[in-house]
Amino acid sequence: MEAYVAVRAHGLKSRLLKRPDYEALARGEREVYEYKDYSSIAARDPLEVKVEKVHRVYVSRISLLAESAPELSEYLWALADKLEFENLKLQLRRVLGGGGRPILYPYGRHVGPVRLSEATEEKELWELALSSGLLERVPKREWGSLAEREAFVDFAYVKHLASAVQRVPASGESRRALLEAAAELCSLVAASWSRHLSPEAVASVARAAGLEVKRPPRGGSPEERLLRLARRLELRYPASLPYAFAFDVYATAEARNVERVIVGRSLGMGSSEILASLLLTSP
Amino acid sequence: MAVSGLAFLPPSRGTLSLLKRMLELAERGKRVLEMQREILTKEALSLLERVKGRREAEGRFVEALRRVNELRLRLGEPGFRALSCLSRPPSVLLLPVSFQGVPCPQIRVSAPPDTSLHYDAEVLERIGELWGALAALIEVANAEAAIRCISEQLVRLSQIINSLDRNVIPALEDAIRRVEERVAARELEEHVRARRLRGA
Repeated sequence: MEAYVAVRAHGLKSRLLKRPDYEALARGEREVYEYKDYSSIAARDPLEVKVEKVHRVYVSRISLLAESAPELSEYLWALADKLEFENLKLQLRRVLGGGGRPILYPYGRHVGPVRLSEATEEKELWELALSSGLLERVPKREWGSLAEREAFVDFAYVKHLASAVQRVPASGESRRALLEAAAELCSLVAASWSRHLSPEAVASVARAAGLEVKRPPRGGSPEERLLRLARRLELRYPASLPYAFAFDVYATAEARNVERVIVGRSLGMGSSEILASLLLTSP
Repeated sequence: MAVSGLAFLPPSRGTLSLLKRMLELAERGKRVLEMQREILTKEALSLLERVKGRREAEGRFVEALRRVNELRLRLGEPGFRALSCLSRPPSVLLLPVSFQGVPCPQIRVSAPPDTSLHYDAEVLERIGELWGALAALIEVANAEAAIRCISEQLVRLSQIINSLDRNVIPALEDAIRRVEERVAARELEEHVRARRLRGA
């Protein structure tokens, strides 16, 4: 079954956009809706709707993988669950800020964006995440800053992913590779939050989420390091479940890139500025 | 009294005295208005110095916006919008402020944007840059609004001064001259009549 998922992921990866596609999009030579996967995006759609549709494409790709291998779907859905964790952070900012209306990702296996957006108090939000099974525990009350709470949600996602690895019937080697990937992801989250929190605070938040931060990785941005991790897994495990992890990283990067192109063009930014902001996975 | 009505005034010493008072008042008014025009011109010129900073303020704003847009792309649209929920917008008031007696609408910032919930130093820096640029633009806009009000007042003052200079004062001077001549002629006539009566 792992091989089947990997083969499907290879097929989906071959449809991901390449550098020339991004260049054509950024220069305005092509429109996003000209690509089959993004044909649901209409030129007259408001920006929010376009962004939502871009992320729907990502969700549909992961759904396709998950539905093709029910035994492994727990892990594959867990990959997409990062959007739910992101939604939790986005809604948390809205609740604490008390204004505006954020765009939530169009995904909800545990708690959907509609229910999340109805939460008006922080306590309500945590209870919702806890009762739906998205979170196993909630942040400590003594954490005063938003950064600590958001970091907790990021670590909780890594823990969620690592737990999903344990539950799926993957081979020992795949399981080991995916657990290592989760550990690296944990380090990347720690590195990313160490820009805003002290190392002690990061370690404390990670512990509260049930994780241990081992070593802070060096060199490159967390996004670039995640891509490097994906490339490594792609090369070492081309026909097993870790390949699905690599595909998820690439598909997520594509969703972010297409979103950046759409937003950049709507803001009237130049093609060079848009291209500089992209995270390109292929030469 | 309308300028056109001066032609129908009865020639008498009383009318002459009234016309001279009116002329004195018109000339004093003209001098006062000229002084006010001078002061307002100086005020407008000093405000022009502030407006000269418009190009720089606009450039600063465009650059700040460009850097915010870069951040917006990097954070992603959902992330960026959610971050913007954490900022409370600045509080501004539109008040009438007097510039040498000329009321002008001016923007006054009563509270800067509240960014206390933000934790990202880069986001805070971008907000600071954008707010700084926006505050500079507000200053320029205030100066421009004041110049517009002062200019309108200068136009009105010039119209009044021109009217006094070209119509009212010459008309009063003409009327005084005419009444003086008529009064002098009447006095001469009375004098001659009195001498004839004395001779008879």
